[in-house]
Formats: sequence, structure tokens, C-alpha cells
Amino acid sequence: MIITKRVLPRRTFLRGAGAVVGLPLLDAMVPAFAATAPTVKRLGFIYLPNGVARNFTGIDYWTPEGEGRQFELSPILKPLEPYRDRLTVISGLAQTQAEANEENASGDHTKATASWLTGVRCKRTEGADIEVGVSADQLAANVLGRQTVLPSLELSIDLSMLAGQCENSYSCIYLNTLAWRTPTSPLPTENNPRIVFERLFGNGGTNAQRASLARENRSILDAVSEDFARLTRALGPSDRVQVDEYLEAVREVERRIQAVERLGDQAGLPSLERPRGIPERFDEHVKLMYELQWLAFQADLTRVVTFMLGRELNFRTYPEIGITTGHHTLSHHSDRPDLLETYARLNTHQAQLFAWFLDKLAATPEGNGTLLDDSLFLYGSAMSNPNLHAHIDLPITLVGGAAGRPGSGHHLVYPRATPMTNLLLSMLDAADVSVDALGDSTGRLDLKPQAEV
Amino acid sequence: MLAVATLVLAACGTSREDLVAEHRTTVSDFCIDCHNDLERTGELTLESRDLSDVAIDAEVWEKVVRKLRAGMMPPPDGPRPGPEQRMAFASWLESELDRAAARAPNPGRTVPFHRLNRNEYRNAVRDLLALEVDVSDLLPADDRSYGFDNIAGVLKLSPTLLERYLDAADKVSRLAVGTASPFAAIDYFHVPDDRSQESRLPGLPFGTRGGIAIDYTFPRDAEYVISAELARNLNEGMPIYAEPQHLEISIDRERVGLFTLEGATPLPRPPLDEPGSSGEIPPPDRLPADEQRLRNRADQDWAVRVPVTAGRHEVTVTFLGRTAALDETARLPFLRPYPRGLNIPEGRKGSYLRSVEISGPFDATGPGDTPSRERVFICRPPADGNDGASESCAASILSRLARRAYRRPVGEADVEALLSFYRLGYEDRGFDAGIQLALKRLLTSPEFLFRIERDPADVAPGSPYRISELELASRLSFFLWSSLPDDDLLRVAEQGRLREPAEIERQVRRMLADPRADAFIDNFAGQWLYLRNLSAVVPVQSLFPDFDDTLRQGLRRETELFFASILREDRSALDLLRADYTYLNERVALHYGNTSIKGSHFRRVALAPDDPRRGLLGHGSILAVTSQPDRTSPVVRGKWILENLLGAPPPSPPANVPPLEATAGATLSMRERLAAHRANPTCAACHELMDPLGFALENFNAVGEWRMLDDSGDAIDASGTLPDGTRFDSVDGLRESLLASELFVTTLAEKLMVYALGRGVEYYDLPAVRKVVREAEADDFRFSSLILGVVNSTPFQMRRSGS
Repeated sequence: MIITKRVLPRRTFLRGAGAVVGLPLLDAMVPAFAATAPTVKRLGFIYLPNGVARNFTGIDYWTPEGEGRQFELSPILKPLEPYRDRLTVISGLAQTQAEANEENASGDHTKATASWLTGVRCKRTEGADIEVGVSADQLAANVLGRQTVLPSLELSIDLSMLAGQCENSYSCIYLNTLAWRTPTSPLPTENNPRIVFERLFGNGGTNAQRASLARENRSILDAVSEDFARLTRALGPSDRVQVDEYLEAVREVERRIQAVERLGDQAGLPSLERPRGIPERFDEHVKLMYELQWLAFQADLTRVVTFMLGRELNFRTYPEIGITTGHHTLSHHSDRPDLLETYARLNTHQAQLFAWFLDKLAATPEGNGTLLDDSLFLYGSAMSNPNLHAHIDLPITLVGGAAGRPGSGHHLVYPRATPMTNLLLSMLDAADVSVDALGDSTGRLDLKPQAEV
Repeated sequence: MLAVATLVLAACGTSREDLVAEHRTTVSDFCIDCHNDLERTGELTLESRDLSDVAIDAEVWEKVVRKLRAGMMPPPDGPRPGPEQRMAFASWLESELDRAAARAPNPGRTVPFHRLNRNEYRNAVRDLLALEVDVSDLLPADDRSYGFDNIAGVLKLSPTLLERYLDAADKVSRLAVGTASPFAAIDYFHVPDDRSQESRLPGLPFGTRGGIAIDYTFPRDAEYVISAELARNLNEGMPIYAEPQHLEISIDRERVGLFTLEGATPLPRPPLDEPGSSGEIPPPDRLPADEQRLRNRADQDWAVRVPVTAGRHEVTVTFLGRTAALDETARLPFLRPYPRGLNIPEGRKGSYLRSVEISGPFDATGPGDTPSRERVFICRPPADGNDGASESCAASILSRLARRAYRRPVGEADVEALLSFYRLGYEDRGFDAGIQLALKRLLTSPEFLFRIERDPADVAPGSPYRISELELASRLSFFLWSSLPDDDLLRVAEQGRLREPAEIERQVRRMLADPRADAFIDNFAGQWLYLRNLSAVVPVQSLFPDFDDTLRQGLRRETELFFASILREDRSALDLLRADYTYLNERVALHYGNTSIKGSHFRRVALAPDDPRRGLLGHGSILAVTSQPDRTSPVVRGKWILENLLGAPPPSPPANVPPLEATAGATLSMRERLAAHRANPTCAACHELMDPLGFALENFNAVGEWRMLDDSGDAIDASGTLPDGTRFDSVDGLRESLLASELFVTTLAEKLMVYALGRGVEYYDLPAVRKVVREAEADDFRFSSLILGVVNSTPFQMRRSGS
């Protein structure tokens, strides 16, 4: 026990207890990336539930006026003005796999979430045969995450434990995450900042103690592997698939432990106090989750993040900005200008919080630039006009370091129904993650302003 | 009722061929117009389906039965058979389907690895180690399907979850054995923002107000630091009160610390018409800036360091109550406190507690005597430290734990696998550390974390077989206790006696009477009735200024106690809808307009025959979880009734059609607004079913208070219709109609089946569901008869082997 005898104020106490853990020296990582500046090192996918404040008959708080370099940021995106040169607003994309088809007339919100990063229509089931497709973030994690402690981080704001908040005939699992490691292996999200913090930085102890725990855990995992192998012997081939997934999980955790061990002695301290739980206020909660992402990037503990600013269908109110109607209910604005204006206030609030995060990244030096320079974020929703559950002309913005990337500082308008997966492929390209096709992709977006090509 | 219908038909002496022909005519008269191969309305065709062998299209015919029973088909706007003809057809179909199922039972198949969800994990730890853990801290929430979070097919194991299991095993094993942890133990307890702390709270001592009571497991005999933090107002300022505020910290009701926030006199307020004043809301009280700065730090050292023995103790942190005289002058206009961070002046009449932190252990003197250690250490190593004798003690400790944890007899190999970890810890840090490490290993074993069901070697692929008695024992204990079988149940299963009819009934009754069956109420009723959602119900402050956290907890408690009384007194399941009593305390009674109940404890209260609060439909909990934050929603309430009481969930809205909720024309009544929407034929198909049910509950507002006028000031019209056309004009009428319909019990039986099996109910399970209902009917639907029916059913007792 390294806790000392004195009662200390919380902050000092925590540091003394080692609950705040060191970060690797950032500059040690510089040479590897300094030479290849334009490559994106980190990808983030930030998801807005229940669409944005717009309809198809003249009211649109999202889409900028004008195209190419000559565009006026919309009210919702106004908070991102300081990053105008680093963002690309992209109009015209669609997620057709979320649209209804003959056998799948309902479940719009479910399909929206499940297809956003996969481009695949989720299987209509609540049983063991749940299936979508591998998500873009996981394709990225397979490459970018090879060297980091966590290949990817899955974060959310809402609780997933509520009853009756899912769509009939679809498992709730589809609504609870964006990340699918395989078409049948969803990755759970975490909404408690304290638990995220502990996953990133451990729960204290000395280096020797942590190393000893890692050894202990590795031998336990070896034994668990053997257990699974033994238990599988008696199973038929179809049942073995399930256990194979579990064995894969064991191997992945073993890999993570080794990655932690490789990090070894660490220096420096994150400037965030160990979070204590889930703040009741939306903005405080979101900021804390962004702060954790910032820390994780800074310490290079992960390079891929998905973050859901809420779950589809959620009924949260936002009294702090004067919104007292449930989120999903409000999103069905019925084309009423007053409701659309109120909804725009929420979307603007979300963008302000995102800008707060970008500020932190832009203010953190890394190598010759800042953390933002080597990062690329997809910020948007799986519905445009939520009143109609429309999955066309999606609200999508890319933000990242300028780094000479084409398209920055532009509003690009693509032909309607261009698959969103084409954009996801281009994002993966930017991070040197080579993938031929994704879901319903038909090619790639060149991300160059059409007029200037 | 079903039996009667079959008898009538049999008595007529009609041949089977005649009946097939007769029903074939029914189908072609009333169904084929829409459900033919060409139109396939509702993706269904009945053309060329063979009624003489319903087993061929059992899935289709089960759908037909469901629609007929619910009265949803044939639709009201076309030619319809009379109710008798409709029911006769349904009954005949059912008996044919049941006969086919009896000839060739299909018990269905759950996946072989069924992971414990986090509630089950917590209960298993409790029953294995006599240790209560806060599982929401240890493990993530589980995904749900079919309305429940114990569905085998979606309880998967991801790398992240496995990491959490490793971490949880570490913490749990250390707590149970009492070995030191190198890691910081700081636990934080937050008091909900909207819990009023103006008066005494349930579970806290008389003469106190507000605060929190925490059941905390102290890991070792040691010193601990308990600190408290007061709530702030906007900008993190410490609010100003004229009187001093005394905060007391106690352990097991014995005071270990007392802290005082001194009273302060605010600066006089500027007159309202002064510049800078809003003119409407008076600004908050203020102090001179440096005085306020000092005051903001008043609680920074509110911490005590005290020696505590290992084990569970109650930590209470609460304010000393005001005197009655002061209370008179400090009456609050509303029961819900103003939330922190809104730009309104402090509305609280005294300090509120924001959080409590417990950290430690410091200067530990030993593991102490805890129930967990007593449970684990059935022997001790010899004092002389003999390695061999120590190891044989370890072996008996571990083999006993493994039998319970794995729910089966254990062999030498099982014990040896654990002993290899024991030896690692023993050589390093001694006997207790060895046991702790072996226990950590046991808690990460797939045989603990999963319920594993394996096909016997001698069963052909794809055929039904009876599961083993040990597997049956686990199914039973996870159904009724959400936990491991106990020794009694395991022993009987090991002896192969569990399937004896008298024995399985004895076990079920014994288990239902056991306190562990509370888990059934929490998990089954909590999810079936959506009680769990109450924690997320945050009605709009300005509209419901009396709805605070204490009421939220109280409403949930009422329904839990009510459900428990049905279960424990073995009442008819129909009493869930019609009982002439409920459970109230002062706070909930006041919410219901009843001022005669005093005190915070809940008691059984009789309800008059015409009391609208009778049965679940009058419970504030259910009325609140089926409302929007700012108003009632007949749609959501109707959907809840259809799904959970009538078993006829409407499909989700079709694509590109906004839910009816949205066209809120401000001047229309709710009923007019919804009527406008039902004019749209796409919407009407489902909303004509949902809305009329929801209207019956319109006399209850969005938090379940009784009202005569709706939000727009019009008199409530609570009339409506069931899907089969039955009309009613009030909540009483709705209740009577539900009671008269057999759908309620059938739906309950189906939900029980889903929950018991951990998989969705499929068409081939419906004969078993009907059998449960039929047999329970003979016993007036006593709850135990439903449970026993499920336990004795084909899908619970059997399984289909893999293909």
C-alpha cells in the first residue's frame, strides 16, 4: 500500500496514490512521423443521434450557403468557424443501407446506427444471428491500433440499459454501438468517464506492482484459453464459431497487456483528475469524454475513437439550454419553424462542445505541430431530415489538421445518393489504411473541390 | 376457455375433414382477398396453405392465431366473421398446432455458451463469497433483446469485457479474502441533483434532513478517510444561509465527525427596478467578494480518518435537522429542488450534500473477520507453516468453491488447475494470497462466467433431448434467483432426483419463498414493466415541480412491493391488474392525493372498488415511464399496453413517416391531434390500435397524478376501444376489458418463457405457452402455477441438439 498516512486534499491525494498515471514522453514519438507529415495518424468518428435541424422544404440550419471555397458556415456549424480552413463540409452523401426495403420496412433508427460506419443493412433479428458488417473504425484499428495499448476506444453518452427503447424485431445491440470488429462482434461502448480513465491509465500502483499484475493476468489468460479449447472439443462445428470469437478476444487482451508492458516506465502526468463518475449535466459529461479522448491521443494509447453523443431514440432533455422536450420527440419537428429553431439550438450546442475539443487538440503541441494536425474527424449524423428519417444528403463534416490535405476549407457537394462509404474509404486512405471496398461503396471520393479539379 | 371450445366442436360429432373444409371456407371468405399470392398484404399469403396439416406452415398459422385472438384480423372495415366464428377458428387452429407439436416436439435451442449478465454476476459473487459488490462499477451494462438483458444470443464476450472481467475478478477476490491491494481504492457517491434534502429521507435517522446512507464493504481492518462535499449553486459558489448548517458523518449510526457551515447574512438586495436587474427574477443572495471566496472553500477539509473493521458497514452523511419552529418559516413552495446550474436564485432552504468519498485502507492491521472470510476459509493452514498441510487445506477450500461456482461436481483436474495458481501466490506472499489468486482464476473461468449447455454424445444432430439435471438446476436458479444453484438444489440434481414431479415443485416453492427471489422481481418485473426506466425519467422542472428523486424511488418501490405481494402470497396473476390494495408511504400517497398516510415506510393500503389506482394501470411508476418529459403520450402508453399486456406489439413506424407525436398543433387537444393523424391511412393501421388504449389513461398526467382536465384545459375523455372492438369509457373499463381477455395471461406467460429461457419465444414454443396458460387457468392463474408451468414445459426441460 503506498497510500500515506496524512489526509491530503483530493487532488494531491490522488496523485500520491498513483491514480494519475504518467504519459510517455511525447517527443520520443516525433521522428517516426515528422518525415511523413501528410499522413493522418488518428481517426475519430463522432455521431449525432436523431439527425439535425433541417427539412426538405426550405429550412436548413446545417448546410452551408454556397459551394467550394466560397461558402457561408451554417448556424449549426458556426462554432467551428475557427477551424474553417481545416474542415470540409460534405453534402449529398447517402446511407442507403439504412433505407427501408421490402422485407425491412421499419427500424429506421436501428439501421441508421448500424449502417453508419459499415454500409451494411443490419439483419432483422433479436437472436444469436445478429449481423452487420465490419465498421470503418475497426478496419482502421486493425492497422493504426497495432502499436497502441487500445486498438480503438468506443465511447457514448447514454445508458444502454433502459427497457423498451429499441425498435421491434431488432436487438438493442444495433443501437448501442457504431463499432463492429467482425460482422457478428459488436464492441460495447462506455459512458462512464471514470471507467474510461482507468482503462486508459490503470488504477494506480507502482510500475513494479503493475508489471506483476500484468504477469498474473497473462498466466490467467493462458489458462482461460486452455479452458475454451477444452470446452470447445465437445461442441459441433456451428457452435465452435462462437467460441472462436471468444478465443480471439482472449488473444486481443493478451496483446494489450503486452503493449502496456512495452510502454514500461512512464513520465509526466495527465492534467486530468481521476473522474468520479457520470456528470448529470450533458455538457459536463460530453466535455469530460472529449477530455479523455484528448488524453488518450496525447499519450498515444489509442488512435481510433468512436463517440456517440447520444443514442438514437433517446428522450433526454437539455434544460441548461432551455430544451424541455425529449430529444427524439423534438427531432420530429413536423416542419414547424419554431421546433426546427429549437432543435438547431441543440445541434449548435453539440458543435460548440466539439469546437471545445478541437481547441484542446489544437493547443497541444506534438512534434512540429499540434495534436489536431495529424488527426481526422468525421462529425455528423445518419439522418438528415429526422422528421422523415431521411438517410439522404447526410449532414457530414470532416475536420482535421490542414496538413496540405485537399478539400480543406471547402463545402463539397456530391451528387445525391453518393454512398457515404465512399467517404469512409477516402478517410481510411488518408490514414494509409488500405481497404478495397466497404459495405455498399462504389468507389472513393477524391475530396477535391469539383470546380477546381 | 380453449378446452371448452375444443369440447364443443368434438361434441358436435363433425368429422375432421368437415372441420378442415369449414375453416378453409372461413379463410377464403375472410382472408384470401388480401392475403393471396399476388397481393401478399402484410407480407403474408394464405393461398395454397394446407389446413389439413398445419404443421407444414406452423409458423404462418401461429401468426394467424395471434391476429385472430387479438381481434386485429380480419380488419373492421371489411367483411368479418362473428366473434364466435373467429374464436372457433382460432381454437381449432390451436388444437391442431398443439397436437402436431405433441407428436414432434421442438424444444428450441439456446446457444451453448450463455454468459452471465452483470446482475447475475453480482448475485453469483454474493452467493459464492458472501460478498456484496457494486456491479455497475465493475462491469458494463448488457445489451437487450426481446425486452430482457439475459438473452444468450446477444450476451457476447468482447476484448473490452474480458478486460473488465479480469479486473473485476481481481477486486472481488481481494475483497473476499481481505488481501491488500496495491491500487487506490477511492469510492465516490453522488447524491442525485434532484433529490430534495429539505427533510428526513427514507433510511436516514430521525432528527436529520437530507444526505445519503451508503452500505459499504470495508476491505480490511484499517483506517479510512470519509470526506463530504456540499452542493454549490451556479458558478460553483457556496450558497448563503442565515443559520449554520451542521453535517454529521456516522458509521453504523455512531457519529465520527461533525462539520459546520457557518450562517451568513447576505448583502441587501437592490430594488427590482434598478439597472442590471431582470425585473422578474430576483438575483441570488450575495456576500462581499472575499467573504464569498472564503465561504466557497468552507468544506474543503471536511474529512475524517477513522478506524473501521473489515466487512459491511452503513455510512450515513446527513444534516442535523432544523427545529420545527424554523421549519415553519422555511416551507418550500415545491418538493423538487432547483437543479444546480440553472440561472435562478437559490431555492433551497438549507445546504445540500453533493457527494461523499471513501478512501482507504490506511495502516491496515489485518483482514479482519468478515462473512466472506468465514465462507471461504473452511479450514486454516497449520500454524507451523507446513506446505503440504497448507496445500491440502487449500485444496478443500478451492474444491468447495469450484463446485458452487461451476455448478457441477468437480474432479481432481479442476482443483489442480486452481492449485497451480494457489502455489504461485503462496510461494510469493503466503496462504491467503494463494487462495486469493486461485479465486481470481476461478472467477475468470469460462465455466463460471458462462452457463454452458452441451449436446450429449449419443444424440443425433437436430433432435430434441432432455437436458441434464445439472443443466436443469442452473436453468432453474438463474430463472428464479438470477444466480447460482444452492447446495440443496445442486445435491438433488447430482443425485438425479430433480425431475421427480414432487421434488421439482418443492424446489420451485422453496426458491420462490427465498429472499434471493427478489432478483426475479428486480429483473423480470423491472424489465417487463419498464420499472428500470424510472431512473432516467426526468420530467420538466417547471411543469412538475414536485417530482424529485425521493418520489421517483418511492414510485418504483410501490410497484416492486406490489409485484412481490402477488408472487409471495401466490395470488392470481390477474390481481396484477385488479388487486384491491397497493403499497404507499406518505410521499407517494400525497402524490396520489391521499393525505392520510404518514411516515416514510411503505404499508399496504386498501383501495375502494372504484379507486382508479387499482392494479398496475394506476401505478405512478408505469404512468411516468410511458410519458414524455413534458406531457402524457397516449401513443407510448397504448404501445406499452399492446406490447406488455396484450402481446401484440405494433410494428415500428414505417420509413419516412413521422411519429404521430410530432404534429403538435398547440390549439388542438391531444385527442384531436391524434385523430388528425389517424386520418393518414399509413399511420392509422397501428395508431388505431395504440391510441384508444392510451386515452383510457389520460386521467393520469405525465407523472401519474390524477387530473380531470388535460393540458389544454379540456375535460378528459377517457373512452377507447380494444383492438377487438371492445369499447370502454374509463381506466376501469380498460381494466375490465383486459381482465376479460385471455391475452393478458398469455402475454405474461410468454414474457416469463423468454426470461426463463434466455431466448426469444418462437412459433414452435407457442404450444408450450398455451399449455402453461391452460394448466394455470385451472388454478385461477396463481403465480406459482405459471412458474411451475414454465419450469415443466418442453422448451425449459429439453433442448434441440446442434445440426
